[in-house]
Amino acid sequence: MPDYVIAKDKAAAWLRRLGEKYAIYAPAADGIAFARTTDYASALQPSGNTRRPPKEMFLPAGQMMLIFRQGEQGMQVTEVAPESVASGPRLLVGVRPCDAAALSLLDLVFSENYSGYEDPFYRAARAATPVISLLCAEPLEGCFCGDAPAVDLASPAADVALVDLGDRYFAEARSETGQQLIAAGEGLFAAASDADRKARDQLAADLKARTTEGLPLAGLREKLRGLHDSPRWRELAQQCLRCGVCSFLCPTCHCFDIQDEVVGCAGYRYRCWDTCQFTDFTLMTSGENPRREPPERLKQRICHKFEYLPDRTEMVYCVGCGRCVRLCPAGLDVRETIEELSGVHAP
Amino acid sequence: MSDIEQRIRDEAKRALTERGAACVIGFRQGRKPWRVTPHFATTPEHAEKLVWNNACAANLATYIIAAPKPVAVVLKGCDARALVTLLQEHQVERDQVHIIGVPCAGMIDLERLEPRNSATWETVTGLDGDSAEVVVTAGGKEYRVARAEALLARCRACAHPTPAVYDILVGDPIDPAVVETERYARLAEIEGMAPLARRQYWLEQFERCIRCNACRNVCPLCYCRECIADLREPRFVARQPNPEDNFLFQCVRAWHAAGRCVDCGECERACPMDIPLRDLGRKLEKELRDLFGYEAGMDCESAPFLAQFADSDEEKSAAGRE
Repeated sequence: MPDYVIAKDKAAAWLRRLGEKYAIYAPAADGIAFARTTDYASALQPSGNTRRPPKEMFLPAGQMMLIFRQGEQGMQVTEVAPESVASGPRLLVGVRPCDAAALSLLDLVFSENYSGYEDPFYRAARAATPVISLLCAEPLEGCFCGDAPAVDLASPAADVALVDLGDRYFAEARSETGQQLIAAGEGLFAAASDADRKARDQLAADLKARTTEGLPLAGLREKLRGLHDSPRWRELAQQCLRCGVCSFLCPTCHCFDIQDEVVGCAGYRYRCWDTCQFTDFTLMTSGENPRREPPERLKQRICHKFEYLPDRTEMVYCVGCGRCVRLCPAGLDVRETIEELSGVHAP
Repeated sequence: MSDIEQRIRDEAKRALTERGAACVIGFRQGRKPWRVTPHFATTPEHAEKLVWNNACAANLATYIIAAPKPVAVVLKGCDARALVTLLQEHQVERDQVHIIGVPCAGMIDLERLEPRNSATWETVTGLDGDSAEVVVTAGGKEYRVARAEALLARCRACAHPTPAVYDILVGDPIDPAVVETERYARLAEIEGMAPLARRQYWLEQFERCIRCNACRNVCPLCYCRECIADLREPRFVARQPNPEDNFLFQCVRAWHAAGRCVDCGECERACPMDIPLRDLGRKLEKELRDLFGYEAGMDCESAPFLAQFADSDEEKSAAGRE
């Protein structure tokens, strides 16, 4: 598909046109999350990233699945239509390459090919929500996307991939939907030149150099197989506080719990985020808990990302967004964990 | 390496070799000058990794209950006050904890430094300074920021920088730099709101909460074996975050900490959503101060505040609510 450029002063007009069809979500001014906006001029912010990744647009922290009521005719169950997750077409604008890559990883988890089950809620939300990515102008402290095999900074997994070239944006349509998004800006875009493409590649290469630490994210898979019984997990998890910061804010973590809310004889069933870092994640009714302490839970988090899911999908489930590094209240640094483990010899 | 850092290492080694400590809890350096993480030293060699700098914000008292005993621990003024509460409540016995007290000039809030120098974080190679200023070395240049401006909000309101209880004090006692009129500044604003507006304010704050439990788990005083946030039967709060339940959970936490909270501010530092959690605890702390002249965490010999009763206690309520 051809590449385009759009002058910066025309980008807002493009988004305004798209805003007629889509509810537009962009990083909010407080930097916490993506939020609905009609301020098209400031929707494309070149720096920073949201604390909460955009995964919540597809896997919300709480999501109703069905409604039930015990009546005279017995239990009446009404399923929630998956399409109701998004109340209409939405457009995510300004998604970072790491988070865009994370969505493509979640696609695998929630698709029939890999998990054996096509998740209707996730699929409906994805279908209703195209993604426009924007390359970061500056990495944040703790970013290491340059090491993440799933992240392509020059051409991230989005419908339209934007790169700020100073006075204009480079725009690559990466899907049919992306092509249509750009077509909606008819008259605003021009064809990209080879010089534009070169400038885009240079910016992506510069950012990659700055976010590359040489961490063996892909190589960890083989290593971890021999480390399941290693005493190192105990040392590595000593300061862990067992909170959910690292996993709830991880753009690829996707574990959920299913709960009922019941008042009287009616209620609803919902799913909500859950995490292997919580004590009761694996608590059984007998009282048995195979992952009672932080070492076992750290092992689960690391092996899930770097061994189990790679075994099934050939993809590493860490995109180097750095959220767990920046936000862990105990200063646990997954980069240190990766380095330590890759240097450990199997017992 | 600072003199204090060397003395912490020496005291840690002494605790391990001469006092029979099973473990010394302190801080070690992470990958960057501003990255520090709790460190658990069980041998003199491990103790060589201990550091002391401007980023030692974590309250290590949180780790004491679960630690193998006897344990030695590096505590700042606020941390030591949290330990006093644990001692009052017999969660740990005094002879099982060897306190390496360190007077603290306040810990740095990276977010306050960030906009003040143009250097990007990857070029920062040092984060030093003295009691007057913080010196950020970045790209070979030094940026100086007045310490008071660089500190975490909780440190700017700290009235007890020197540990109230310790076995050995490393460094000279530090006078509090807190400005009394600023101590409850943000609180006064919230108190000034009409009740419905105040409720709205808090619900908006808790709109962001993802219920990661970082506030609870980082709190040295939140040691309940079973927390209402985890209970499903009976169910107090829903598992899925929602502003009402998030707020309810925090109100329960605040009431549980009444007379115990020492305003170490860890809940607020840990919160990834920037919810001003300290204000809930400080409201109760302030009322206790106004009503009874009580400050939590100052005297490990006395009974917990809520277990104290004196005939001389007056029947009165907080100012403005007679």
